[in-house]
Amino acid sequence: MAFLNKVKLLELKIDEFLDLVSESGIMFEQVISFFLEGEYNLMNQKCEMIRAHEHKADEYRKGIEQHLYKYTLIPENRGDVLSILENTDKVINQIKTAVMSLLIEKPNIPDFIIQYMQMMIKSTNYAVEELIKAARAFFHNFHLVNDYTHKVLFYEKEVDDFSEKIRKEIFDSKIDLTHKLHLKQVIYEIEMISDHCQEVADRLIIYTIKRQL
Amino acid sequence: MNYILLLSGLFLGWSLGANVAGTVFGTAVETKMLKFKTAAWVASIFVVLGAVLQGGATSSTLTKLGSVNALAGSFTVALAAALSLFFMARIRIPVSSTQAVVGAIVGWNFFTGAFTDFSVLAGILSSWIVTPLLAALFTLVIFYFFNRYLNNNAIHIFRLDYYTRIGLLFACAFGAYSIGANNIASVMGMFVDASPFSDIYIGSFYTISSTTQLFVIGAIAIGIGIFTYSQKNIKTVGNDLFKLSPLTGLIVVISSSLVLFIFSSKSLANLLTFLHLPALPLVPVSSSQAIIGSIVGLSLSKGIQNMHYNVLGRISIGWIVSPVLAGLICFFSLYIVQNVFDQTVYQPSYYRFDSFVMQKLEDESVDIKKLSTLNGRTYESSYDLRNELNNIELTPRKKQKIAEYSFLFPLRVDSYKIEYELEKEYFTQEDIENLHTLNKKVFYHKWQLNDALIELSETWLFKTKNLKNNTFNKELHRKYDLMYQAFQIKAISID
Repeated sequence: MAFLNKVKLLELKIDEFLDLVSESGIMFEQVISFFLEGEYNLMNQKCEMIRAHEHKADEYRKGIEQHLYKYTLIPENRGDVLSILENTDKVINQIKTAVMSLLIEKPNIPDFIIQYMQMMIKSTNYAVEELIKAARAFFHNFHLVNDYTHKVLFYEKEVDDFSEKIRKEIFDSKIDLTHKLHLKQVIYEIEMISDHCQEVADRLIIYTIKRQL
Repeated sequence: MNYILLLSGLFLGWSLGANVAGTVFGTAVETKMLKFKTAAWVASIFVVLGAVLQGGATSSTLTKLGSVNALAGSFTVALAAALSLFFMARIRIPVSSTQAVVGAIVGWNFFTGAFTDFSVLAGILSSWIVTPLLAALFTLVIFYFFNRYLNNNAIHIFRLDYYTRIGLLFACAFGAYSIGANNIASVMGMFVDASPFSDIYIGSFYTISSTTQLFVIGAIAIGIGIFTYSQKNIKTVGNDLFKLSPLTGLIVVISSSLVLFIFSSKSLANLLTFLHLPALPLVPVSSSQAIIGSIVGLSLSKGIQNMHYNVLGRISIGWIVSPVLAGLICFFSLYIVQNVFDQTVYQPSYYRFDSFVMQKLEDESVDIKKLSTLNGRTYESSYDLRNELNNIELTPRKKQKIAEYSFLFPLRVDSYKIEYELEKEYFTQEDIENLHTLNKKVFYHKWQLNDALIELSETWLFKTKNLKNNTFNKELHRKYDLMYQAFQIKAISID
């Protein structure tokens, strides 16, 4: 019975970890909106929340890892689960990196890329959301994993497309080269979020095949 | 000396224990789902329980195959089986003690000239074919239901891990119980007729028979084998054949244990007979054959492309080589034990043509004039008798009948034994009364007891062989076997 309680506790921890990543994805979209609207105070608050979430997610991940090793849980899938958690943690890390860059560097976003950027942020958020659903499915009902992973891959592709378009627009424009390079770096950091999502999705697809009886 | 001769059986039990781990909890320990100590304790306890509670059923089949009736003979049979196992293990082929023991017993039969009951041998050999097939079938069915259940129910990965652990623990217990019940006969079965122990009476209501004592020490030897050597040898039987996960390992252990269980369950055999279904013979079957069959079944479920056919071929060849090798080792070892160490490796089976036998044969319309050369003579082995009968023109059926009627098996009906040694739950009140009527009577041949009982009541008569009478006849057979076992007297002058 005590063992079952430990199992339940771990299930809860993993759910909470995924909640943190999911909430960070939502807040990331809000941060961008506040930034584009010039609401720096609100943006600052959200950034702090993301930073706190990222810190908490790190602690959860470490706790889960220790728990898994201490009680030799899921020995067969332990490596896979740890890899999912570590790579999902990279998503929230990247969200924090991207928003901190915006907060610190406050890049000047030209009007001609705002629309594409908003679409890119939306797709990034969708990719994170679908990834969290896929990860939850992996733990709860792995038969549904593929229903979500293909959406992650779809949104990641969309983000790549938007990123390409934005970079093209930037480098076709007549703004300063330093400005161009700065914007390119900002776009690259946003793009990296969905890239990390894709990395986790790819792993989930393989691990799901492994989990089949 | 008598107890020292048991050592080869204990060695065989120890080696079975060392190997059994791979079968029942290899996957669980290898995949770190269970701790070795936990699994070893559970397996050891349940091996002993299986051997004591249900071990008798299969040992009687081995006794029928060859009644190894001298302790030095039993020692040699067990040693030959253990050496054969050791050799096969050295060349990394998983074989079972059962196969080796059956081969060794047939070797003993050849050496002593004892009659090998080919119907029993055929039953055992067919079980070696049926075992892997049945295990594969069980795996296919269990896999189908597991897969369906897992597809239709969302179970959290950690919850599934927890259930799998519990399942593996139960499967470990069930597997060990089935191995104890089924395979104790391989370890100690050959000592049953030559047991150095005497029955222990606890008060006047409970008896620990010599057979039970043998099974307990055999099972303890298995337990020691599990604790002392299996950790080094934990590699799952058949893991070379197909990589097992904890869940598939669970399916494999459940299905192979089920096979072992049904080949050793008297109750199940009775139920099937009662339902007019063909009952499986109660024979010691190979746990490694069952595991290999299960793994083949699993690979069929998951796609046979993952199967390593060269390994399967090597294992199958081992199943033929192992009993043959054990038989040969046994044959030559018996020669050495008998002639170099001057040990009695068999007690002769006597066939006596007394007036009772001649009269019985005449009643059974055997032309006894042809048997005039046999009248009054005693033969010391079925081999001698067969040689003699071969000189007389008789049908094989009649020769079999003559051998059966002339076989000397002294019995004395004893009221004390009826009350305290006979397994009375198989007998009706009327049966017991009939037996009491025969108190103190001595019979030289089994059939004499049968005839005396039939005279008292027709309920002792076998009915015509058909499906309807199958249950009755089987039960009557069992009654007679129990009586022969209870009333047999060993020390009697044959002249």
